[in-house]
Amino acid sequence: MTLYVLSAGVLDPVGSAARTPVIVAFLIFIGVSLLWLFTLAAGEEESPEGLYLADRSLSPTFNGVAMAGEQISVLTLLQTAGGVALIGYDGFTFALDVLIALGVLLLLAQRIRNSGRYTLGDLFSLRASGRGPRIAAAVVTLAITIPVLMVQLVAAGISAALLIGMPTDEAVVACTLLMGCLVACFAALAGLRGTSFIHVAKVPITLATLTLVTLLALRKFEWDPGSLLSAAVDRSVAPDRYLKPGLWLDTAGLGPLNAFGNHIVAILGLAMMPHLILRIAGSRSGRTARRSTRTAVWLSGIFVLLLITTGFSAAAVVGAADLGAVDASGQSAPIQLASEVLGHGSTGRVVLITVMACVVFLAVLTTVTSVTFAAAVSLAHDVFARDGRSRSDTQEVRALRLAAVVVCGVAVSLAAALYNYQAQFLIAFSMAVAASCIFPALIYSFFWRGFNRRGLLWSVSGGLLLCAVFTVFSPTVSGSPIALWPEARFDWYPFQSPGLGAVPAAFFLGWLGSVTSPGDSETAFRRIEYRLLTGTEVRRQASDARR
Amino acid sequence: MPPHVPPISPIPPGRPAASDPAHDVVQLRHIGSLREATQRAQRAFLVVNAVPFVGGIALSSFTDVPALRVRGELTLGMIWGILQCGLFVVTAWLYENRSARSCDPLERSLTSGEFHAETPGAARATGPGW
Repeated sequence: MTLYVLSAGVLDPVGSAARTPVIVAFLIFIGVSLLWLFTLAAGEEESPEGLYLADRSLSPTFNGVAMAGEQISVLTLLQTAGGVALIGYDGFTFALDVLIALGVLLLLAQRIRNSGRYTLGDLFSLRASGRGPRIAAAVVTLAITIPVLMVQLVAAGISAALLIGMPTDEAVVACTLLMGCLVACFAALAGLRGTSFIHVAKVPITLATLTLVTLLALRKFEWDPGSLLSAAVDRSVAPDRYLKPGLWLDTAGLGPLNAFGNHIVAILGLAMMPHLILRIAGSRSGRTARRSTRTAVWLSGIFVLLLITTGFSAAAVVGAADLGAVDASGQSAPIQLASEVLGHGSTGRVVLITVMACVVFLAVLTTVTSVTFAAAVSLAHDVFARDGRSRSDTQEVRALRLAAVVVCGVAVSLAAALYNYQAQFLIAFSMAVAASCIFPALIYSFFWRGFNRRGLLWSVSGGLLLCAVFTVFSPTVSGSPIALWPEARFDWYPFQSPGLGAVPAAFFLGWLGSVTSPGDSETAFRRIEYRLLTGTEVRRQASDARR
Repeated sequence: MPPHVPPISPIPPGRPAASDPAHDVVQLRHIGSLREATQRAQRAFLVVNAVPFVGGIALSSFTDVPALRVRGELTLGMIWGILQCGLFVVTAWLYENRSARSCDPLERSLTSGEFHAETPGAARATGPGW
């Protein structure tokens, strides 16, 4: 993740000719964003549901495009394209995970929306009463979102420093702080409707830009995709292994089950992110939630294909050596590709780099804002509004804004302090927590009558605890070249993803806790199922009363 | 649904609760039909995508089969992945169409509280294909 060579200033892919336009574009972008923000804030209503869910008024197409925008994050845009460019086939399969994750969401979207709940605490309370599930949900939400925010903010700071031509440690920290402040403002003021508009604007710009750089790269190879792929292979770090499984160094020594588990956990984790659940809940109905997800699937399909072609194009045009010289994970691939597909000194090159810079800034702003907003909603709705005291809507909205600033402040501080360390364990932890604490709980809540409070608490707390323990003792923290402390050796957990052990364990604990205490009656479960299938409440008939 | 389960029915806005055994029987049948139609559509989507996906991931994790060259630099694994991607997008589209055709009419009839002997789409809910 960290740009080791940035601090040495080895490479400047943007070049002095494009620097001024890029900086101007960056400043214009910030100015327009703030203007947009204040316009939104002035017109935003003060009701919590209006702010959190846009009054559940988002149309299928609009929300679907916004959901596709959620998939265009800093990590997918930069790291996935970089992964494809540097590690070929292994990066390619991980790009597909981004798309397949939407399949899990597609199957659950209608039930999530029909439940009428929009935070993890709400969803956990579907089958378990009391404050315990809500507190557990808030902890899980923070455990997922803070690491994701840290990694995305660091990536944003590094990319911004690269684009403005100041690849120093101080510039990276300054850019991280600047982006963090902007995100905090957005998350505190914009609301779901505001962020949705920016997501919707981001999708066509991103797809058009990636299409353009891919076509320009293809033009360099006389429109022959075969030649482009051959060049990508030739200029890779290991031409004989580039398009075969196993080039990813992180997984090489950990056995095939590790790679298999990484894919499964990544898919489940990506599908269960709190900001996606919030977006699903913003749909008008269960049917429109399902339709939105379908729209997101095909737009994300285009995005993933473009990411793959961008990655291979970057490998072919720039070469793995130059990509790796700027960033060990290759996350500068889209920017470097944009700077190499047109002749140096041309106006087109400057425009293309500037547009790519805007795409990166948009990706940072939108996805980090969404994640921050989801965490803030969870704190305001599950913790603040449920503490036993009576709260007005205005107080809850204020709590949300404060929570957004605090969450973002914590993430920015940690990102600025730790940006020089390997951060892969954070992503592994975050994905594993989403996969092991949310996925089993939702599956049991929606489909198993016997699930109850004890099962939920055991599943969620056990999953979270195991994720933390497995992460600490995994090869991402010690004992491997990509570890936080490569020299130390306490990596007795043999897999890279803690979810490989934690997801089955969470399912088992959920079952065990449920069968050792009485569950819902058949009637109670049927009422919940009715709600999940139709989105409306039910009443007992007179025949029930006669019993 | 087991016989001991008390029947349930929606509360249409502004409509008083009514106890009508015939109404309950019809409604129970509709809830069961909706559940079955939903599960059938989900099962088909899941199986069609999960089998090739898990197969592909298992092959690339445990064997070297995906490294086989098919044409030029293109390997079997890459072609498999691209086809997987296309299959996923197409089946997502078909899943939504099938749900809209077979599940949504049942859901609407339940939530409106109006049942007919021949609810549009109910018959097709048990039909084959997407």
